Amino acid sequence: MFQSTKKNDLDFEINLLPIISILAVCICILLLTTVWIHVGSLNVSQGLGAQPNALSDKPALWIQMNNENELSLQLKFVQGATENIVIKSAVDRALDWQHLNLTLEKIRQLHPEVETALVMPDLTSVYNDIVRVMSAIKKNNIPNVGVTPL
Amino acid sequence: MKLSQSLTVTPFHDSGRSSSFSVAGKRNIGQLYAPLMLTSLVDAFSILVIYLLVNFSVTQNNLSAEEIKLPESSQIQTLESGLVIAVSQDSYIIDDKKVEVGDAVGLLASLEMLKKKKGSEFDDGQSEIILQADRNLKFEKLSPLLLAAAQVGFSNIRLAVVQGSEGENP
Repeated sequence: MFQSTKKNDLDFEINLLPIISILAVCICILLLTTVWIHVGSLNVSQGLGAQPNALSDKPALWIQMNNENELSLQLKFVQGATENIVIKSAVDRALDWQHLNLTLEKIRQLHPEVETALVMPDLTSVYNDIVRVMSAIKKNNIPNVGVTPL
Repeated sequence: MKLSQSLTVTPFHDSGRSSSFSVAGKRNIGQLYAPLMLTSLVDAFSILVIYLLVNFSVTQNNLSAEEIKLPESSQIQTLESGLVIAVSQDSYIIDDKKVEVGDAVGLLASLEMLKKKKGSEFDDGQSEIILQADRNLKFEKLSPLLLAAAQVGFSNIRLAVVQGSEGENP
């Protein structure tokens, strides 16, 4: 291992093959155990049940989904807001996400006291769409999101 | 180094050193050393190991991925372990037991049993379940489950989702 041509010359070689072997084994093990898809959670609460004070008289936004992919937004217990906002479906009969985001942003700006939203899906509403609506609500800084079963 | 018309390359191992090749021609025999650069290989492997270590997760993921494609969301939080209820097209899987869709009594009974079984782990009014359902499921399949869960006392629900991109999903 030590090759010295002169008395004062110290030269040694590191054998890299075991290091490469160890790294290759580590890589194989880690490739098998690595999480490639990160699963998280979207926390929501029930719109009814054991929490009777959840939506009693707090300012809240109710979003109703119908079977034609239209959304009806209504502000409850909010001063000065009585009208329904209806978001029609997009050209391809899907939910109009852009319009929804803009509307939620506007509601948040005009009524910052609204911190609770309740989603009321239709029987035919697709679960992915319901999750996207709740995501849009949370993205627009409305922290408390609930869903009401039929 | 001059090479003759015909060129032959034969490998040989020099003891204690990297592989070398000799180039033998008709007239001129020269030696061409082509040492393998193992340090760059070690560098690449090290970077791979570090990257995979960073992505390594020690938390147990008790969600089964069979036949269930989770919805995407950009507003996700860390999924903590808890009671998982999986919903497929024709049944609910509660605590590894199948309950048929439409069997409201069985569903209620299963949830009650689940709550009794895990009763000591709950704080009052803070019961939570993790709902794992396919993204293409209609709400009519989820509604009975949510109703039954509310009746039993599960007030907070965590929907299992995967990280979605900002461009496609809100």
